[in-house]
Amino acid sequence: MTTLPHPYFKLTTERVEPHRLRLRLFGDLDHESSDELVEALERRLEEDGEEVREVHLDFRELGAVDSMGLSAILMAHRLCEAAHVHLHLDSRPPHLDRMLTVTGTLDYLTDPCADHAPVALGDPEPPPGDRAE
Amino acid sequence: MDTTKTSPAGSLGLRTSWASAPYPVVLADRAGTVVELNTAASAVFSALSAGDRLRDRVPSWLADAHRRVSTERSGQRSDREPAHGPSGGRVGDRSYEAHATCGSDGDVVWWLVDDTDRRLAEEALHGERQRTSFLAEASNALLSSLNVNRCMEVTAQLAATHLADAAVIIAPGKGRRHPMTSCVGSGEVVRSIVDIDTTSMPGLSEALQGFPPVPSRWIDPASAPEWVVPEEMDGAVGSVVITPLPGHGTPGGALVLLRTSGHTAFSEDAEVFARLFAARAGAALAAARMYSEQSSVTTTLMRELLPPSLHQVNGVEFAGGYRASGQSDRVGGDFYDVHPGAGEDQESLAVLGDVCGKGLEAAVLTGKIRNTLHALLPLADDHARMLRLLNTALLNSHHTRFATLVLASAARCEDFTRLRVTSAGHPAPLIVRRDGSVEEAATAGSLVGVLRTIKSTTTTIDLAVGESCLLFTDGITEARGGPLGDEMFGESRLREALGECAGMPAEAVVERVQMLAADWVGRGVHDDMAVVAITTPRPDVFSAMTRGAAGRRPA
Amino acid sequence: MIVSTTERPGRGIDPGVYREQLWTALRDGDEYAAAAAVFEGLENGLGAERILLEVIAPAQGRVGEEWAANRMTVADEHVATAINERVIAALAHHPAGRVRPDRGRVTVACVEGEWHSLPARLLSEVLRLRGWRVDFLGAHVPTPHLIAHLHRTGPEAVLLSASIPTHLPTAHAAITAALAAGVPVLAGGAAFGPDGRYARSLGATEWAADARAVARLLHDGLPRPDPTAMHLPIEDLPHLADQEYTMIARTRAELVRGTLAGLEIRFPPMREYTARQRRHTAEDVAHIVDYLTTALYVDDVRLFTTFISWTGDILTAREVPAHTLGLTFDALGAQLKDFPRARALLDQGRATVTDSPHIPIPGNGKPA
Repeated sequence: MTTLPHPYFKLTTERVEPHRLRLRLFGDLDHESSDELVEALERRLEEDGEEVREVHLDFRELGAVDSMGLSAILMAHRLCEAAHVHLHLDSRPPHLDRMLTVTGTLDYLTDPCADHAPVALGDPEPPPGDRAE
Repeated sequence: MDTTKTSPAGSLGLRTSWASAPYPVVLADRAGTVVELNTAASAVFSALSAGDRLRDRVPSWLADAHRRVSTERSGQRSDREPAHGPSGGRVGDRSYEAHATCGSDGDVVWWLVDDTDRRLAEEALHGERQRTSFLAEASNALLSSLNVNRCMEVTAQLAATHLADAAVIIAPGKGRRHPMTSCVGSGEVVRSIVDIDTTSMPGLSEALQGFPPVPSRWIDPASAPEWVVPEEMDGAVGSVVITPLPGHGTPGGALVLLRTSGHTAFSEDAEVFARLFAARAGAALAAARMYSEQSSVTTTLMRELLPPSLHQVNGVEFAGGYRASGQSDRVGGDFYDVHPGAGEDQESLAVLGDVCGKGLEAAVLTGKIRNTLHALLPLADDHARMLRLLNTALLNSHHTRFATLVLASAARCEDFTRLRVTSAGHPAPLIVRRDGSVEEAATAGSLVGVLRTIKSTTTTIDLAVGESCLLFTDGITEARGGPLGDEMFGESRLREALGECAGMPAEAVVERVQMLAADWVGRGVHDDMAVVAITTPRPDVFSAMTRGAAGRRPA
Repeated sequence: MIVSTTERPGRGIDPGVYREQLWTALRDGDEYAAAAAVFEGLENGLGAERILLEVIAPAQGRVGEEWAANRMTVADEHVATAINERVIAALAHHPAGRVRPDRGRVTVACVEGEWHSLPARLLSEVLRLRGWRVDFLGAHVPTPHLIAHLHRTGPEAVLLSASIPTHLPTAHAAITAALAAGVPVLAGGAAFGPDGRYARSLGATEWAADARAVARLLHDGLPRPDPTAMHLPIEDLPHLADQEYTMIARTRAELVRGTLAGLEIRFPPMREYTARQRRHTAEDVAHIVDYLTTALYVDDVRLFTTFISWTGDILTAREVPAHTLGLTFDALGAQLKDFPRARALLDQGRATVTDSPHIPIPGNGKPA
C-alpha cells in the first residue's frame, strides 16, 4: 500500500554535543521496529559511556506507535535510568501524548522528578494471598 | 535378437531356402490349408502338419490374419508385403509377430518373429507407467486430509481398488484393542475397533512392530483369522500381503491386502509395489496423527487462554466478544474475564485488558495476569489495591512488557446496576444511556507491569434497565479500513454505534460493535479486538432458563 | 405459509397462531412472551422442528423485513434476534428438544464476514433434532479456523451459510479449501442466489434452499470430493483471467475516492454535504464498488442489477435523488475505461435505475 504515511522505519543517532545524544525516529514505532530503538540506544550508551548525560528521542517524524512501541520507550527510560542519564522525549506528536496520557506514563516519562527510583532487580515480591499457577 | 523383416529371397518355389531358416515359417494356401512348414514352425506348433486347416491348429489371431491377407490378395499378383503391418499374438507363453508374403498362386508364406522379450518390456513399461500414475494419484488423495480416520479410509479405498480384492488397515492400538478400517473392491469403507491378538495372524505383529514385511508366499492364506477377512469379501482368501505402514520413527500400523483364491496370487512385484504404496500411506497417516496430536495439545492450552462465554450473573448481563489479529491465531494479547459474585447482592468482577505484543509471549503474560487477578479476587472491593498488587507481581527487570486493563465490579440493586470502574492505563469504558446518549467513564490510571508505583482513580456508575457499559480494547477504535481504505474506526464512530444500542441485551451490543468494526476492516489486517458489555436487563427476562447455555461457540 | 401435508408431528396444528404470538413478542422486545409462545406450541404438540422452521424462522424473517422497511430500528432488530437466540437455546434444553445423536457428524458455519448466524443456528438445531452430531461454529468464522476444525473432526459434510453476496469470494476460498480437505460442502443462504447458481459456479458439492432440503441431502449422503481433482479456485471461474476483478478489488479505496471526487463535480449539492452525509455517500459508493466487484467475480450481471434496484429504493426513501446513482456510475465508469466487463455491468446498472421505479427488496439481504 502506498497510501500509508510511513511505510518504513528509520533511526539516526548523533552526538549533538559531547554530553548529549540524539536519536531521531522516522516512521512507525511498532512491534516490528521497537527492538531497533532499544538496541541502538543500548549500543550507544555502552560505546559512548560516561560522557553522555542526556539522551533526546526526537519524535518529530514519528508515525504510528503501538503498544510495543510504548514498551520500547519505557525500556529506553529504564536504560537511561540505569546509566544515570536524563531521557527527553522531544517534539512529541499529539497522538503520542494521547497514548502516554491514557496509559498514565506521561509524567513518568517526561517529569524528571517522577518515580525515578529504579525497579528492583531480581524477582519482585509475590502479592499476598495465593498465586494461582 | 535378430528381428529382421526382410522377405525370403527369390520365389516361393525356393522352399528349401527357408526350410532350415531359424524363424518358424508356415506356407498356407488361399483356403487356409497348410501346404508346408519348416522345422522351427513344427517346434512352435507341435500339432501342425501339412494338410491341416490353419483354423484348427493355430491360434485364432494367426488364422484370422491369414484369411484377411488371402482375401485382400486374391486376384492380385504381388510378392510384396500386404499394405497393413504385421500381425501379432501369443502362441503358448511366447509371443510372435507374423509377416506375410503373398505368392502368385494365392499362397501365403508366414514368417514368425519371436518378440516375447520386447512385448514383455513394453508391458512392464506400461505397468510401470500405471503404477507411477497410481502412486501420484494416491499421494494426492492421501495428502488432502489431515484427519486420521479419513486418511485410513482413503488408504483402504485406494488399496482395495488398485492393489487387491480387499484391504484392511490395522492401526496401533492400546493393549489388544486396535482401530481397524477395511474396504472390499470399490465398496464402502467399514471402520471398527477390534479386540484382537495380533500374533494370531502370521506377519501382523511383526508389521505392527515395524519389522520388515514377511514375504507373502510364507503366509498361509488359510491362516488368516476370521476377523481380518471382511464380510463383504466374495470367496475364500487365496493370498495375503502384510506390509507395515511406516510412521514418523514409530510404526504406524499394518496394511493387509487380500486376494480371493479365484484371483492370481500376489507376485513379488506386487509385493514391492504394495510397499511403495504403504510408504506413502504411512507418511500421510503419520502427518495426520501428528496434526491431531498437536491440535489436541493446542486445543487444551487454548481452552485455558480463550475468553470465556459470558452470561447473566445475579441480575446483571455480561457478554464478551474477542477476535485475534492473526488469521490463524486464536489467542493474542487481548483478554477478558467475568468472576461471578458469590451471592445475589455480591459484586461480580469483569476484567478486560490488553497485553503489549503478540503471539505466544503475549499469551503467556495474559495467562499470568488472569491467574493473578483470580488470586486477588478477595481484594476486589479496592480496585486500586488490587492493581498495585498485580503491578508488583508483574514487574520484571528484563523487559518492559506491560498491560492495560479495566476493572468493573457490578452488583444489581433493585432496578439498576451499580458499577465501580477503574482504568489502568486503558481507554475509558463508554456508557450508553436509555435515551441513546453516550458518555465516558471518569476513570484513569497507569498501565501495569513497568512502573514501580502506579496511580488509579475509580468511578461509580449506575446503569438503569437497558443501559450498558462497554469495555473495549484499542483494536476496535484503531481498526483501519472503511470506504476510503485507511481511516481509523475511531472513538466517535464507536460512540455513534453505541448510541444505537440503548435497550439492547448485552450480547447484541457486543455483536453490533464487533460487526461494525469487522466490516470496517473488511479483508484488511487488524489488531486483536475485545469487547465486553455490562447491561441491566429487563426484569421479565427468562434467561435464568438458559444460564450456562449461553455459549454460542463450542469450547 | 403453506402447511405441508407430509407426515410430521403435530399435523393439523396451525403454527400460524404461535408465529403471530412470537412476532408480537419480538416486536415488543418481550422475551418472556416469546418463550411462552414457543413453549405453548411445543406443549400443544407442534414438534420442535416445526417450531424452529414454521414459527421462529418466519418470525425472524419478518424482523428482517420490518427492519429493511424502516419500521424497526437497529436496536429493535438486535433485541428481537437476541430473544430468538435465547428461545432456541431454551428449546434445545427442553425435554422435547433433546435427541440422542445416532447419525454422523457435520459442521455448520457462517463464512467469514457473515454475521447473520440465525439461519445457520436454526439449521443446526433441525439437524440435531434429526440425530446428527452438529458442530455449530457460529457467525463470522475465519476460513483457517474452519479448515482446522474440519481436519480435527473429519465431518461428513460442512454446511456453509452466507446471506450477503459480497461474501462470495470469501465463500469460494472456504469451499475450495474444505473440498481440498476432503469434506463435501453444502452451501446455503441468500448470497448463493435464488436458485443456488453461485453455489454451483463456486464448486460447492450441493446447494440447498432450506433446512429440510439440507436434511434430505445429508440423509441421501453427499459424495466425497475427488481428491485427484484438486485445483486452484480460478479453474472454477476462468473469466477471472482477464484480471478485472483483481485490479478493481485491489484498488477499491482509490476507486471510492475518485468516484467521490467525480460526484462532487457532477452533483454540485454534494459540496454542501455535512460530514455525516459525506460518510454515508462514501459508504454507498463503497457498496456499489463491492457489488460490482462481486458481480465481476461470479460473472453475473443479475447480482449487480438486483443490488442497484434495491439501493435505488433506499436512496429514494432517504430522499436522495435517484439520478445520483446514475451520476455515480458515470464517475465510476470514468475510472474504469480499460475494463470492458465492468463497464458493461455499469451500463446494465444504469438501465435498471431508469427502468424500474420500484423493485422489492431482495430476500433477507442487508447491506454489510
